[in-house]
Order: sequence, then structure tokens, then C-alpha cells
Amino acid sequence: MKTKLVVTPQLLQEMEATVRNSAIYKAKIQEAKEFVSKDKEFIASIFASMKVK
Amino acid sequence: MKKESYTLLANSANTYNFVSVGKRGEILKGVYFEEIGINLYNLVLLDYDYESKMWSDESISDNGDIITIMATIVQIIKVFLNQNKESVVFFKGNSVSRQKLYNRIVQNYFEELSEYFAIWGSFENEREIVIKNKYYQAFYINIK
Repeated sequence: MKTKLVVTPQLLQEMEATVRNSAIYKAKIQEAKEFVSKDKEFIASIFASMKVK
Repeated sequence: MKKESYTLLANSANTYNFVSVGKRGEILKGVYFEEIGINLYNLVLLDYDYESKMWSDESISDNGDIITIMATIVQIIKVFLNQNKESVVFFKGNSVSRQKLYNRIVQNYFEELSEYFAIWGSFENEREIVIKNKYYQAFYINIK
């Protein structure tokens, strides 16, 4: 078990500064973009349903 | 279904952090909303190892607190969409286990989520309003 975690503002800043440049984050975003590109019409219908209210 | 959730740690916009506490110790988690289309945000859930400074997406951290994690993610989605009412949140598991986690979240919180949000599911060639207890590859959520 690891030592007691103390979440400092510096630690949060470190996370914020590194996450979007991490390979895993980039891979997830790329995969999401590829997936939603196949759902364009469906997504458009979702946004259209939001506008009619 | 109201369940205990973790306290969200203050951070920048579109970023939510919390600490998972369980049998494996404390795991720092980050939930990120990345805009991948106009008002379309991808939810990304990652673990941060503050010792090695490495990011991972262990879908099952096996920390014995999955119920609390699910409740926390639901809270985060609510907070985000209430602050971004014109937006749609997209999330998809990139592994079977992660897909199962997201399906568990949607199904376990179906009534609570459905009260405020429209939940859409995508599975192979099917695109529809989510049907309870049906399995989906990906989800889209927006405020009703």
C-alpha cells in the first residue's frame, strides 16, 4: 500500500499539466473522434432534439 | 438511487479529480471533458500514479469501491452538464471491461439520470434512446 496521499494544489497542477500530453489521453481522444465520426447524423439529431425544446 | 460519492477536488474547468480509497490504498483519479466537436465533449477517466507520474486507464482498479466511483462519475456528469447546458457528453469504453463499467453506471443510475438527462446509446448499427438493461458500446448524454 502506498503512503498516505496528500493532494496539494501542486499535485493537481502537475496532473493538469501532463494529462493532455499523455499518450493514453491522446489515444482515447483519437478513438473517440473516430467513433463519433461514424455517428454524425445521430449526433446531429441529438442536438436538433435539444433545440426544439 | 442515491449513493455516497467522493468529494470532488477543485481544479480547472472541464477537469474533475477525486481520490478513490479502498483496499489497494488511495488512487488519484481524473475525469476530463475534452471537446471533440462543437459542444460535444468526450468524458475521459484516468488514474494518476503520483509516484511514477504515469497515467493509466485501469478500468478495474480493484479498490473495492466501484459503487462509490460510479456515484462520483454520475455526480461529475451532472455538474458538468448543469454548467454546460448546450453540450452533449460522449463516453465509450475502449475495452470490454471499461464498456461494462460504463454500462453499469448507466444502468444502475438509469432512473436518476433519466430524470434530468436524455441518454442515448450506440451499439453496432443501432442508435437510440437508451433502453434499460440493454448493452451499448457508447453513450451520449444531454440535459432534457
